Amino acid sequence: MLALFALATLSFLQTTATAQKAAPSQQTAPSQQTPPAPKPAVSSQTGSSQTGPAQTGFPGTPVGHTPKVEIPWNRFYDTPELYALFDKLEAAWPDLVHHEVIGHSTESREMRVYVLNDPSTGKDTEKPAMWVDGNVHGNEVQAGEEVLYTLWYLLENYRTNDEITKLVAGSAFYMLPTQNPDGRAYWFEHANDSSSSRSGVMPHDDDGDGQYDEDPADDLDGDGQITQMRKYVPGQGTHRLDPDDPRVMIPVPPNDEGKKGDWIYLGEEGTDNDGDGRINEDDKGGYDMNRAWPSMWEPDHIQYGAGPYPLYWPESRAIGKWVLAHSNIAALQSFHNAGGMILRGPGAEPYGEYEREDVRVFDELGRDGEKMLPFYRYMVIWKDLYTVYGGFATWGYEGLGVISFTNELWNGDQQWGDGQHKPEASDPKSRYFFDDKLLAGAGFVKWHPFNHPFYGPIEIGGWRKDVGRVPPTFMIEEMLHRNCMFNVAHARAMPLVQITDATVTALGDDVLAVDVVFKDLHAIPTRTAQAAKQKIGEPDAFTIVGNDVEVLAGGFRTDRWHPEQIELAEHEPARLLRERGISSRGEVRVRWFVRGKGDRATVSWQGEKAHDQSLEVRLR
Amino acid sequence: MTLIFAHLALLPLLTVQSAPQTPPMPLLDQHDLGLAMTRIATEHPKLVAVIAVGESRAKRHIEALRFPANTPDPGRPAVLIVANVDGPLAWTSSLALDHARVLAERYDTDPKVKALLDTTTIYIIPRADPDAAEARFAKPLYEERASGTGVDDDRDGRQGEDPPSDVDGDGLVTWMRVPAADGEWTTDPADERALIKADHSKGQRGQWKLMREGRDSDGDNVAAEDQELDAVVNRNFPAGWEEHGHDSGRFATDEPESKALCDFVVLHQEIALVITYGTLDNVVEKPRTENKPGRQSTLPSAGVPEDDVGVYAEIGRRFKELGQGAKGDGHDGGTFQAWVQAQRGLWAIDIAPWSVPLDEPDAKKDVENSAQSKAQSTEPADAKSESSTEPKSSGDAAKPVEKPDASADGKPNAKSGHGADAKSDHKGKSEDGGPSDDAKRLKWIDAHNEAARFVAWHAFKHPELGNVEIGGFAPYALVEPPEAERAEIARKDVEFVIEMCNDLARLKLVDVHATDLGSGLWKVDAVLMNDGYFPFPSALGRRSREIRPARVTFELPKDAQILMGNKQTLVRELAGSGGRKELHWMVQGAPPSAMKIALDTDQAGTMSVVPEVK
Repeated sequence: MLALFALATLSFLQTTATAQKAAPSQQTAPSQQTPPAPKPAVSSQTGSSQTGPAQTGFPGTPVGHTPKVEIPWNRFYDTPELYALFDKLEAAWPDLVHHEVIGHSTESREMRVYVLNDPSTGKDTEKPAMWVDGNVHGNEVQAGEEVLYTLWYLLENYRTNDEITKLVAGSAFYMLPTQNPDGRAYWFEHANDSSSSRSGVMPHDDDGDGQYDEDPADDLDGDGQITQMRKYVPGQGTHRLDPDDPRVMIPVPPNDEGKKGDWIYLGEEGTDNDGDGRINEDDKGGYDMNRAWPSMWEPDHIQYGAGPYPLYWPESRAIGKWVLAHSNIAALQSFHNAGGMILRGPGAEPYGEYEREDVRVFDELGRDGEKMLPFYRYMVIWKDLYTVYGGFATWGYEGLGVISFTNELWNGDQQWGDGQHKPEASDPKSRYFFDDKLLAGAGFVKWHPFNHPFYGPIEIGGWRKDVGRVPPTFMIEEMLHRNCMFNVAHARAMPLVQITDATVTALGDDVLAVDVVFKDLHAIPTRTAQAAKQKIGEPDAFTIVGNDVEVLAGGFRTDRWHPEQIELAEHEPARLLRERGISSRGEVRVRWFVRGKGDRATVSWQGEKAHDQSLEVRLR
Repeated sequence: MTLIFAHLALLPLLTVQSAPQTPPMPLLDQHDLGLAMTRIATEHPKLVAVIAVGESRAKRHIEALRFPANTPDPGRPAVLIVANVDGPLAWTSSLALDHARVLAERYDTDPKVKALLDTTTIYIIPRADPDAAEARFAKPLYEERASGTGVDDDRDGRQGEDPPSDVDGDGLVTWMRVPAADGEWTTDPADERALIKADHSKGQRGQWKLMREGRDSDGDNVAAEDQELDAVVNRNFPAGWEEHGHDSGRFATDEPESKALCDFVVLHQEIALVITYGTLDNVVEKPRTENKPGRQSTLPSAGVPEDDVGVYAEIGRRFKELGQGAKGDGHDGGTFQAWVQAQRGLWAIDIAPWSVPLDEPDAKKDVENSAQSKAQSTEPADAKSESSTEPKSSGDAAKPVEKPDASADGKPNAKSGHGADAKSDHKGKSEDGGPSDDAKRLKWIDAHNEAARFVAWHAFKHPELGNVEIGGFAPYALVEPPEAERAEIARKDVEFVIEMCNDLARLKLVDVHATDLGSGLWKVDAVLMNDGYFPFPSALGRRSREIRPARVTFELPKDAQILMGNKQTLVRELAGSGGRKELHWMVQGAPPSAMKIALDTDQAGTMSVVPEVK
């Protein structure tokens, strides 16, 4: 039999294993679906010389680089400031960034998605896209800066760093700075502690007394912080003060000798605003927008904070609908704080385990992540953390079939470096040591007297809201960069399809066999096993078309050595559909039987989560 | 206003009679339904108002009638009556309006109705799924369940490309049976018009493939397997929602109709009872008691807590005293009914107003039998964990999968109208080899001269599939009662509803006394009592924590103080039929005449009392 090889019209993606990595400028695009190389930046940012004053790009090496947009990465920004910084990036790279207002929060703040896409390489919707958001819990503020840093880093290094250029040219990023702009603003602008203002701000009757948000924590001493209260009750208390450090309260152990302490702990700063005998029991809001997503959604009495139905709040619904409308999203990250975790679902045991093929992809990314993010552990939410029904990242996988993570930013242990000198976790003084020596005591509000309307003379003091769940100023940038690069690794795993080989075999009687190999070069399959199993989105299509080319039959080969082993299509042999798509770094071999006078045919792959690809094949 | 009346003049059927026996409302399309509602409100301006509920996907208005016309006071108990949340049950919209008319017309003459409307708010949403209902008035006639988001049913990368159609031009979209050696259907020996699934173990061979009537537009040898719209409103609610189900929608409450209904319920916290006319029933058959022990998961088990089952059994007894009723299809996953009951914790009465009687001569025996079989077969209907962990039933319309909940009892065929559920019309599981359910339905049709309900199988040369036979149950044949039965259904259901509405939990402060202890000290005692039949709230309401507790507040002048007791007492539950909770205070510094004990609830009444000196 006579074998003819296809025209060697290799696209830039069609590199063989031995070929060199394609530089952006070599990315020729023979077929119209292949993204063209990005246009070089218009400005004089050539930066080819190592000796020049400042090179463009800000790749993480500290000498000779100046970012185009300077952003201080040692503090956190309230909602308007955060949006303003995103806008600054949009203004600096107007050809690459634009934003859409996808809805409004309860307090009418804009819900913004910043789209990073180079239109010179195609529309965003035609590329695999990564969704990055953060701060669904209003107090988990650094998640917003993390989204900002990721966008900034990609922009600064696009067209200067080969890897980032390749990534950004071939994909799109959808970035929502904060899922909860009201909760973020409330945390910045009002007295809070590190854990309050987690909710959105829609009023909620937490204590069922018919009133809404009427008994919040109170900033009694007016210092802008919600700290703690304690009272001196000589000989009648539950605690005593550490003789070496009166900031520290030590519980008096149970004993039969009548030993008592001199202090009682009264809880969080506040008073009984509604006169029901309880303090601080109906705070602002009172729900959890990361329990409102559609997969494994359970009502409030099973999952606190879920609301009356999925996507009840305007923020959640706007995001949910927007995400559903973007079937090109192939990777998803939703940042939280804290604890140092790379989380994946399932969120609840009854779901069962995720599909085995997909777990392999999660594991590969998660385990690399553990190396990139010291102090972070790769964990399954229900098994290693706690049960969550209706989480966002779990919806990303279970509902949308997308490889999705939630990183819990910042682990308090990081302040102890390698852990060699880390005190025992049970040592209550460990936090004070760090605060005393490295922050000169800035994180702790010293106990001070206060005359409480109900308890009388008490003391108020404790940790500021920006201590504990967020890093101190000097450790913010490291957190942002490491997690940004985890995003980059995640995004680089998005599927990249290549038509690597096309072979034509004459079978006699003018019948030709056209064998084509389609590969996904990357770790994430074109369709996750979850998408295939649950029939999410549309199956991949493998097609052949040519003038005067009649397709007699076609199918997927099941054995690379035996061409007669084929799952022959029952209908439409020129358009083969495959629910499973192309597996992780896998390949799909197609054989078509054609005849006709045409001498060329175009074979192509179309799918939702990667660039469509096509290749012209010479038939004779 | 003049305009509206001009239109109404064209609707002779809507003439309201002043006679006590109000004739039932005719079948009403969206336009006429709107006019009829307006007319009721205009004729009884002090009693009724039309209020907005929401809008359908196709921008049709969803509206409610509200008794009274003016916004009711907070805490006034309310009942919500919902009909036609299942698309094919368009006729139940008229049944719901029958209720409205009877209430409005009897207000002045019937003390029971007057008492009800003077103390209770009634919301009636006659048509919760107007888009699907509109199919009832379209030509050709096709029993449409779906009105929402479409999916690619046959997974060919195209959506909605192969819809059902009237290929034989008889004005009805029915069924096609295609002769095929590999078909899974054969004829029922008891009635050759009925099809049953071939049971190979009994030596039966498949003869037919069964499809919805339609073309094979996409050339895959299967007809009508991918219609444009797929999501069904009453599969799109959160309780037991089937993720990735072909008819359940992208997420629970994604469909505008289901979200509108949910928002209405969430907004109107005064609703204590929801009565639904649909494909579910909990009055003819007692709801299943949940199985308590051995639950590993944090998820609740399917079924209803024992306390509530007792109440529902009593409600069912009263319903059956008034007349016959039909059984539901037992599939409550993703339904409005399941959501209000299990997740909002409201009392919920589900009425399946009619279905073809399967064993007419001995209806009682049938009820028992199928209640028994249902107890086994409906097991997974609610199971949330199942819907999330099990592979969903295939969206492949060509190969309908037997769902475990499709029991063999007298379902009113609510699932028809979609190819994937074709088997529920034609399936004929009959364990003892007796006639299939469809054969029984045909027997009823024959006995009652209802021939129009079944289209005789007739040969047809199909343009793509060749020789086929077209026929089967006509659209809506299994869900709409005969005209002659309509009045009786309305009479019975209206009476029942009036009785149920009068049974709501009503909390009252009684025996409020102050005892002089001397020196300006007063002991004050009161009893919070439930004067209604229904417990406050249901066991599911206590579990859901969505029903806020009753709030009893002791109000007194500023300079007085409570020496014993709470300023505000939250009462989370109170048994029905006179359930009591005693409350005690000791007060200093104010005479009883300056004290006030106030009761505040969301859905069981409000009042305030000055203690009487004992």
